[in-house]
Amino acid sequence: MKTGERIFISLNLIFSIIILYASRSLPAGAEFGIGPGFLPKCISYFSILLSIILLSKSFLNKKSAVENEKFADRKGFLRMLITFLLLVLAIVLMRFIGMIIPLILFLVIVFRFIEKYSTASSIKVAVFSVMIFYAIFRIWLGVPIQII
Amino acid sequence: MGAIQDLLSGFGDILTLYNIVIIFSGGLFGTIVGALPGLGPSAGIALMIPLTFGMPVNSALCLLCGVYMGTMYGGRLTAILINTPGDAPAIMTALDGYPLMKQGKGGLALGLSAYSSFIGGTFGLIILVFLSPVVSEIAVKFGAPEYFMLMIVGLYTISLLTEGSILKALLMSFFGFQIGMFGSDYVSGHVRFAFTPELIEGIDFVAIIMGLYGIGEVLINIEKSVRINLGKPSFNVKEFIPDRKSLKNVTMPVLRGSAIGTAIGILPGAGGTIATFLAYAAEKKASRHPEKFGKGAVEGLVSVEAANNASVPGALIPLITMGIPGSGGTAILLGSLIMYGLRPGPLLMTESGDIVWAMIAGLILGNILLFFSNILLIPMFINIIRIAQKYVSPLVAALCVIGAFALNYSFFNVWVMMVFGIIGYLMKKFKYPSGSLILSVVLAPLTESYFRQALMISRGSYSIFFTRPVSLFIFVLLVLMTVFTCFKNSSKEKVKK
Repeated sequence: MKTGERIFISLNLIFSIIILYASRSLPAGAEFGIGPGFLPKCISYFSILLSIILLSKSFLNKKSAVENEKFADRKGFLRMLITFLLLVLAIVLMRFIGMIIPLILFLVIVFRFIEKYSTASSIKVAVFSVMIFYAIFRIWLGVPIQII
Repeated sequence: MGAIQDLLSGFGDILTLYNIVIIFSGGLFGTIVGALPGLGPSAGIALMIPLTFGMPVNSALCLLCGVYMGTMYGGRLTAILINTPGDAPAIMTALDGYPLMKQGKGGLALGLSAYSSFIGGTFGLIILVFLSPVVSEIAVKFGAPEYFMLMIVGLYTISLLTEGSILKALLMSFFGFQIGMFGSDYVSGHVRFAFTPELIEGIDFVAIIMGLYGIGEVLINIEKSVRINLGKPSFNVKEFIPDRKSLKNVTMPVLRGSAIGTAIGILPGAGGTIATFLAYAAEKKASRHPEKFGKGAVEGLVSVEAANNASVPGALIPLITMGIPGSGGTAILLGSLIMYGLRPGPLLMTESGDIVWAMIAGLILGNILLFFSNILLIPMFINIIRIAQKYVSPLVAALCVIGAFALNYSFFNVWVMMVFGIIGYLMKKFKYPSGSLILSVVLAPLTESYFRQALMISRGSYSIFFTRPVSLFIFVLLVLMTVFTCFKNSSKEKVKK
């Protein structure tokens, strides 16, 4: 758990450094006030400082509350990762074959193979739900959801 | 009297069949979302925002407020029935609600909790109706320095009052601030951090909240494979309707809980969870039989439920009058106000008073509808929750994808939402509070704008924040809050050692 948190804080640190670097070109001052670069720079400095403090704390406090907690159990993590990747795949497919089919496929696969429901109920719930979403967004709200 | 007239005109605006159906549906949706573990008020509001795009502003706000109020009613259902709180404030409900259920008084517990939720909500709404115009009148006199300091108070308190590490909360506040500053700076004309052309207008706030509260929660729920076994409890509708004697016995606990809930709700960052903890502690202290608490004390149950629902209107007071949200849920509402073209702040009640009063009228109507539905439709709720919880996570993910696409019909926001989904998942894993992040995203542009205005007034001198009485007072308050928190934390450490 600690390693995971360290990575999370480090990513925050990198993000703050990028923001600080990107705000170099923005003027920090203006006549009688601050420029567009002032607050991003200040906030990034604070954020870098806090990230370093939190990172140091994670190394110095050897017995923190989350130390012994596992990040996730292997099965659960895999379930989550596969669902997330399936959703990413569905979004990629949406560019080529519209929204409806990838969403139905995503739901059916997750219901059937991740949640382990029967094939019939997985298909029924997936198709019915996507039809409702389509009715709400396409027919009611006029969002241009393409079928194919 | 002016407030009553404004409220009546608000009712005039919203009393159409369309709006009543919208409020009722929002309330039902909120109740179910509130009851499902893992999804809270913020998730409920976030999921509903895309549906409001085609609606008139009045109806959209009524829907969101209906959902917000509904989630407060919903949390208690699974807490009482199976000792599984649907959201954080319902933890205290489970303490006495579940023992009552085990004693065969589940129907009474559900009925009384609905009644106390209704009274708590009504109490808070009455305070909201009469206090908002007064606060608004005072707030109009504030200038940019005072507003800047108030924004800092809002951001700072939510970090100080967080349940976990203050440092983590502050880090999330800074992260939110950085995100909130993406896009065009309309004062100087510079574009900040537009790494892709889509970022010129900044990162869409709705995509962020749908990622954090939608996808993030879905990933956690799928990983933990959260399942609740509701069984098939059989209730007679009569059991949900408390008799006169029970109502008389709970009058004072309900009123105490309502007062505590409203007061705590007004404080930035405190919210329903702290309100319920305090109400429970106060009730235990006031009771002649404190030993019964935790074993099915009706007073404990009704007091926390009243406090929880009273905290919603309480939290709306600073939001409506000063544009300062105190929690993740109200921050999302503030973001929605901006999205609908309103200008949150002291002038909101003057410039868009009709919309604000319509929203308050919608809340009152929502509270009444929720009271009846939470007494008469409990069996229906239990059945819906039983079926919905099996399929909810993938369906929420699908809804989020369509919702993010609907923001501006582009897949860019869908990817932004996915990125924030991962961030939300990691934040939940490592116990980083999302409320601080959302509040900062929403308040960053406003805070920067007030900061600039204040410095322009003072011709670049920072002394303006310490020479004006109100902003100096707020600054002293900030210092005292910091000292108090440091003192509290060091005492905690000593006790631990």
